[in-house]
Amino acid sequence: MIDEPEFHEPPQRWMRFLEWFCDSRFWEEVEGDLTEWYNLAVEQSGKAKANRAFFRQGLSYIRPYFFGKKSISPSLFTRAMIQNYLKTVRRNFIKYKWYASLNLLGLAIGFAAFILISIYLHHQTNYENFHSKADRIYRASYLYTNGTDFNQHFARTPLNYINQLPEQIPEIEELIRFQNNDKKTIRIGQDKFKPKHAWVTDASVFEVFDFQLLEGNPSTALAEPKSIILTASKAKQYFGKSSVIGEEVFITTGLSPEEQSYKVTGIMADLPSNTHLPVDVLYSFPSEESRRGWAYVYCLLAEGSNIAQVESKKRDFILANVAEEQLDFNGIHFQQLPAIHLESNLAREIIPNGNATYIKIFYFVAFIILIIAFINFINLNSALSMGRTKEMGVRKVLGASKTHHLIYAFTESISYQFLGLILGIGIAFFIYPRFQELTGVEWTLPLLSFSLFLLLITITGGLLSGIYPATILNSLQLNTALKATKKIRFSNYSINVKNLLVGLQFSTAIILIAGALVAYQQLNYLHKKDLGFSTEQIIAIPSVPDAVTARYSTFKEQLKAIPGVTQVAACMQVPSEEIRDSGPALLEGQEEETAEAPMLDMQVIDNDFLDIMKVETLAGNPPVHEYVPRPIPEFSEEFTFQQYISEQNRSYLINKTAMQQLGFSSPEEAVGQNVSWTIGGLDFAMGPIAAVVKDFHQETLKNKVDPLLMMFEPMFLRTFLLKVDPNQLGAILPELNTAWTAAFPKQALEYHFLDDMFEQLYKQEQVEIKLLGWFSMLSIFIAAMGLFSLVAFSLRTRVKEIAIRQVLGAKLPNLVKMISRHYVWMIIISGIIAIPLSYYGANIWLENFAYRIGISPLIYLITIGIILAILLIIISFQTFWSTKTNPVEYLKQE
Amino acid sequence: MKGTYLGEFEEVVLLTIASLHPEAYGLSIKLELDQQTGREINLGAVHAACNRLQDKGFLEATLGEKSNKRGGRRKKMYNVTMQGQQALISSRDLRQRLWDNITPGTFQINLG
Repeated sequence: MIDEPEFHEPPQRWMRFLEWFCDSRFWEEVEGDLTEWYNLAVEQSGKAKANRAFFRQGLSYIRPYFFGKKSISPSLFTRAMIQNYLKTVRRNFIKYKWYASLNLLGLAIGFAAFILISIYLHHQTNYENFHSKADRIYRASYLYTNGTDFNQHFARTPLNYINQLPEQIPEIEELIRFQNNDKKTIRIGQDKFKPKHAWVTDASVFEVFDFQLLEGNPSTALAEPKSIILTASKAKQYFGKSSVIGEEVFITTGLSPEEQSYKVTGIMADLPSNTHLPVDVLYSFPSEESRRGWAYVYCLLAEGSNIAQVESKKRDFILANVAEEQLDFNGIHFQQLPAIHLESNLAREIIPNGNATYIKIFYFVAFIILIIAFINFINLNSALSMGRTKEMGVRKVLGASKTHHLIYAFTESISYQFLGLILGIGIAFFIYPRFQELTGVEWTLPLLSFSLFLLLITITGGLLSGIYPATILNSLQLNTALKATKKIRFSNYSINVKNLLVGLQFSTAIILIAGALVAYQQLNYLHKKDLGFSTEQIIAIPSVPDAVTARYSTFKEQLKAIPGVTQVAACMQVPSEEIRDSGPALLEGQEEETAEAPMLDMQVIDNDFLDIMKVETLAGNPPVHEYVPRPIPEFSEEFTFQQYISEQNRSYLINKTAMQQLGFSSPEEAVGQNVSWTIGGLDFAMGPIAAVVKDFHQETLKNKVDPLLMMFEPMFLRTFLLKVDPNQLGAILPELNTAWTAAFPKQALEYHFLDDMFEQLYKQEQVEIKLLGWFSMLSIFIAAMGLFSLVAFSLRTRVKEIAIRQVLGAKLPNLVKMISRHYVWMIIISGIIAIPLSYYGANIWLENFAYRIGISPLIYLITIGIILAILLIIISFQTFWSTKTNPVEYLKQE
Repeated sequence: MKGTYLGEFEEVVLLTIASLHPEAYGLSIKLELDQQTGREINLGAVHAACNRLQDKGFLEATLGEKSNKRGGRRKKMYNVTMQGQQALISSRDLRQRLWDNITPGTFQINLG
């Protein structure tokens, strides 16, 4: 050949892979032909095209025939061999039972924690999964905006025309209202009950929600007015028997003190706990006219429709019902049912929502715990393998290949993982009742897929944690392995891997401990934070019926007369609950500038409120009214309710935030100024600001103090507050009941201790933080166990060195110092990596709170301190143990 | 233990090798097959078939000269063995018998 064509190298990556893949007996031919073909192809159609075609050619070699037998011969999997391996694993377990059990326990705890967190997460992330149409159900929420920067997003809606949705938007098939605006009392014979979730709802509710009727017919149960359905547990509680169809119950509501008779038409199965819409009682609307006012409204989309279609018709729908300038006040939003629990968090949710941040935290924690447990296992397992090099050497001499070692290592690690899993399931099973009590979760996991998932993790974990010890053993030279006593010098590589793993453990431990400490401090801070008033020894009676308006003074006197009750006050919204009434306040002379008027919350109080709650006055004279309240007149055409409200003489109290919002720079400046306040058609008369009080926290500390205006209006006093002598509590409660029944014979008495109510606000947080605390402790425990055995093993390999040091005069502290130096360095390095991460994460969590702690460096000092202390205890203990024996004993050993 | 069954593709490869003699090696077989069948045959398929045929004893192989355009690798030259010939012949005979058994006129209906 005169013209030697240019030589083209075929894609090297492919060639290397194929060289590995194909059995060596094929390789020369394959490589030759492929190269020649490639050169041909490049000459014919250029490099790019040739490369693409080469890909196809390369793929054609991926078949079992070319892979050949490699080193995996059938004899690798004989039963006898696996049996022998299992036997060896068992013997080794017995030989090193102390370390092996620790190892196993660590794994088991890891698995148990993982299982429990999985149960929790699955429950939290699978809300409403029992409603088969959940994906098509949307809740219509209500966004109120008033043109200024004030807005409030409500979970329920007051827009009555929303009932027209199914008629005007064809994509909406069904609309169901759930109304529960005033507390109901159910009377059965002489017994009175206050069900928490008693809903007035539509007859077609069963077509939308999967409420399962144990008795009664879903298509007719709520068709008639005055029908009522009880859940099985409520039926049992109320009647004491389960067959109650046709029984009569009497219902009183706050708005209509008249008793209504209802007939039981159905018994409903209790709902699982993973729903944002719990039900105790369902009853029918008395008439179409009563389907109005505030309601939680759910829409069922027609099959095949999506919410975007509905959204696109929303504006037209609203405009068909209200004037254009009203558009702002008519925000309708749709939330898909399953998303409500974790993503909604609007005002007036039915039950407190979950928090997506916590879900993320717990995913992270579950992951970390598994990692810590696996790392432990890897470290311990490789440490154990170190003691068995001779065994490996003998196996090698007898013909074991690298693959044999690998299989041996896998057999060992997978059997440990399985034992760990079984033990872990046992532990989880044992703890589950307590866990359930704490978190309120239920088992919602599908058993089969979860078991498969655990199995997968176990096997993956087993394989991952088997690789490392196997690599160590395989890297040993045969003669070293046989000669080795207990001292094996490992390559730098393996020491680095171990350091990395232990370092990872330290880092995760730092993140978890510091996280738990921050969370604990924050919660503690909320507890200790001055609320601005005192909640101690106060009994609150919320939701007093409207009938109180006429009898406010007399009832108050009756309560005062009870021995042990030292003070009585009344207000509208019970402290600890959010104030729902917000409206613009206008200063005298600024009546025209309504657009800029600040929005103030309104609370109604009587003269004793500030006193009983110990709210501090900044300026002015607190009495909110100076007159004896008169009976409320009858309202008529000539003298309307609106007129009464606007003509009554008033004086107002405001808090400091409201004072600032109104534009005053000092309390003294504000006192005596005239102000008026408006809400939805009710204009409260202009009156002087009588006093400015210090800010107090009406509701959860997650929210900022809102600007607040307080006034007196007996019509709105719905809550009584009783300051009591705790020693006479036993006598007070029966008296209270008597007084209540005398005044409101048809309603059940509901009372709470105010500090409990505040405590209740942080219940969710407390649970989460307790869990976090638990699991951090567990992870530290697992890590400590790992460290314990690791140190033990590293001491074993250094017994002679230590013995010689001892003979030469080293004392315990010297030895401890020597051994711990290495670990202390690792802790420091881990700290450098973990602290910024933890700081970042903790800050994200803290942003949930309007009032929060700063993260002090002390937290990290404590965290590192805890880890150091654990480390030193472990090392001292172990060193002490190994120096207890006369060093000569060790030195004599070969 | 090796089966002596001759698969259809294997038969084609075997015939191609015979027709290329004495210049039959992986790439030349592939190129010939490409041309004869009118579609692109993968080298992997050819190599698999050749080596299987060798395992069955239908082919023998010698290593040829090294060349630069093969990245310094030698060619594996294939040659059909006696057994290979016999397998081909018996396969052809089988076909012939089957053809002979077809009643004249059977296909003409379809063709017509």
